[in-house]
Amino acid sequence: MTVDVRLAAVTKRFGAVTAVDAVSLDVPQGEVLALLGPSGCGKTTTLRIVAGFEAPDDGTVEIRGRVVNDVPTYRRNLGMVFQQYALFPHMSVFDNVAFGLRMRGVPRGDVPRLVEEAMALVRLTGLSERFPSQLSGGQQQRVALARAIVTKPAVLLLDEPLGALDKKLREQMQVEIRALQRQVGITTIFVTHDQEEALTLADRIAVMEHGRVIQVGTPTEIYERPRSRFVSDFIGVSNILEGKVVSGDAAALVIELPSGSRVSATPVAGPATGDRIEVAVRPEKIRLSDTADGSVNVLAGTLANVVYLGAVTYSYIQTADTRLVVMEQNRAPRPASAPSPIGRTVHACWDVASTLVLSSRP
Amino acid sequence: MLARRLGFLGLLAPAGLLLAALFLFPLANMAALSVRTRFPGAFTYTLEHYAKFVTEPYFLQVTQTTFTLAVVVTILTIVLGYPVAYYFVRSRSRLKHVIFLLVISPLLVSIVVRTIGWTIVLGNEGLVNNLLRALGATREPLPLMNNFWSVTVGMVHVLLPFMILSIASVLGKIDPALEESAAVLGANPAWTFWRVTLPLSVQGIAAGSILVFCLTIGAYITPWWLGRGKVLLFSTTIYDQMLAIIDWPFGSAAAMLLVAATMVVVTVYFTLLRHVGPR
Repeated sequence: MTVDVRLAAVTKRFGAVTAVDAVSLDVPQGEVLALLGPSGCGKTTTLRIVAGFEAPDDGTVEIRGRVVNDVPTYRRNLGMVFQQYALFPHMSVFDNVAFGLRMRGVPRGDVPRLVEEAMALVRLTGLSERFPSQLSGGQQQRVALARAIVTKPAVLLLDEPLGALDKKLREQMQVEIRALQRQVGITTIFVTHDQEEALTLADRIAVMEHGRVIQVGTPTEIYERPRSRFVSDFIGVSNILEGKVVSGDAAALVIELPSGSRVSATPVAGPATGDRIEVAVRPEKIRLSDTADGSVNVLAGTLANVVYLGAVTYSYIQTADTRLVVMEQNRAPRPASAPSPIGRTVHACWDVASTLVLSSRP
Repeated sequence: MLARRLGFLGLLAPAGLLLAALFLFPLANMAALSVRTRFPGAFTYTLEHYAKFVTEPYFLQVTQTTFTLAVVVTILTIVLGYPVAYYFVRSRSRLKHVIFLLVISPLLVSIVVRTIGWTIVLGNEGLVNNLLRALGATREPLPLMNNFWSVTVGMVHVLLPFMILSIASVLGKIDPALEESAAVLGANPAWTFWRVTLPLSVQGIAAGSILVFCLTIGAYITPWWLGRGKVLLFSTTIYDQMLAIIDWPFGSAAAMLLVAATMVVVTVYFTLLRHVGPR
């Protein structure tokens, strides 16, 4: 498979701060890669290095096999959608979209047709003569996208592309961008702090913290097999349990919690008997039951709080070791009023495979 | 609604009263003076002063010099000021604050000190001439003072801050992402400037130009000092007519024509500019 973008040990320092720390990433042709992390994790700087706005202090950036460290932005053949879209306010929608074509010396006669095609791709027609200030946020977003893809760039860069839109529109645009990207097949890197956006849009997610890429994988891998506490906390919600490995044979990894309760996990390489480790359990993997239901992993506790959210209910269970959060789908019809279950003793049960062993080092 | 409107008027009142008392009233007075046959004393109404001004070649020459000076000074301040404003807005250097102080320094120095400073630099025994003679480049001192260009230099010096600050205030509001966006789309720095930065900063150039243009036309002390009667300008002419020749009605007519001509130029300029820049 051809690699469209390759970062090799890219490092960027701002004074004493290392914003990007030896980041290496390969983005194959046609892939959508999300750089996901909290603010200040270096994801935006990484994107800006690919764009050529920042020069790396170390490492190399390759686009389609060519090292571009010394190639200025305007010769990198990129498309980019900025956080606030950065549409040219003094140009009509048509001129905005045509700008890249004109700069690349596309024959004058072809410009209107190509602009038209790009506008059709983002499902925005008939607004060519408008100015950006006369468009809604969603329309500006579409113009920015059309402007970025009209030149058929090697790579499309998106910097928090949906951050400025309200929730409904954002969800709609996520689906549309995904569909558009599939249709055009353009290699895409996008930056986001929104885990849902990353899960929706990306083929692969690179989770960043303190300038480093700490885990790269498909959305499923990242969610189902987080390797560190940070990743498991940042993507979704996790119950973290700390304990000591009491047996690590081939059948199961057994961890003893401070209270003496034991939980089992699928064995992994690394932890040895006696090691202190952390494991995570996703809230939706836990079943609540009045009695131990025969699962290997059962923790008893009292129901401390219940939050009803319509589609799902969150229950907070105080066990001897920690407070667990459990998410249950409200599949069965619920009576409009029921006696408060708070204070009841319940059992939190989950499968061995749902216990995620986190590396001791983040 | 009415109370609200009166409230707004209240905000305008202090400045309005001041303008009326110190600007509109004298201006009206001057307009009245300009159509009197003589002042002081018995008079009839006449337009002869205006006719005299527009028919005598001397005054046409003065008008031409004045407007040429204003245009040249405006263009020079744009060319010299724009890069400084751009640096000032985009630079992350700590030197920026020193530059800012240097930029506004001409305004901090008294007009007398500033013009005498230029005399020291440009005079026959001045810095430039002494240097040229020491280098053997010339034997006789070059006539650097008391001409159109010495006045231009003095005016550019004092008016440059107005241009820089006007342009910088508009440049500062341009999102740097717009320039980055142009670069991503394949525009090299020159094209980015020409197609994005410049059109978006036109309003700043316009505001600065109006300030510089009007201040040049009305300037009196700097042209008088650095021109020493060799550079005849509108303002010096009005001064001479009123205080040397003591012909108040004619001086007033000249002043009214200056105001009118300036307003025409400014209006035309603004109309032209409305077709560029952001909407």
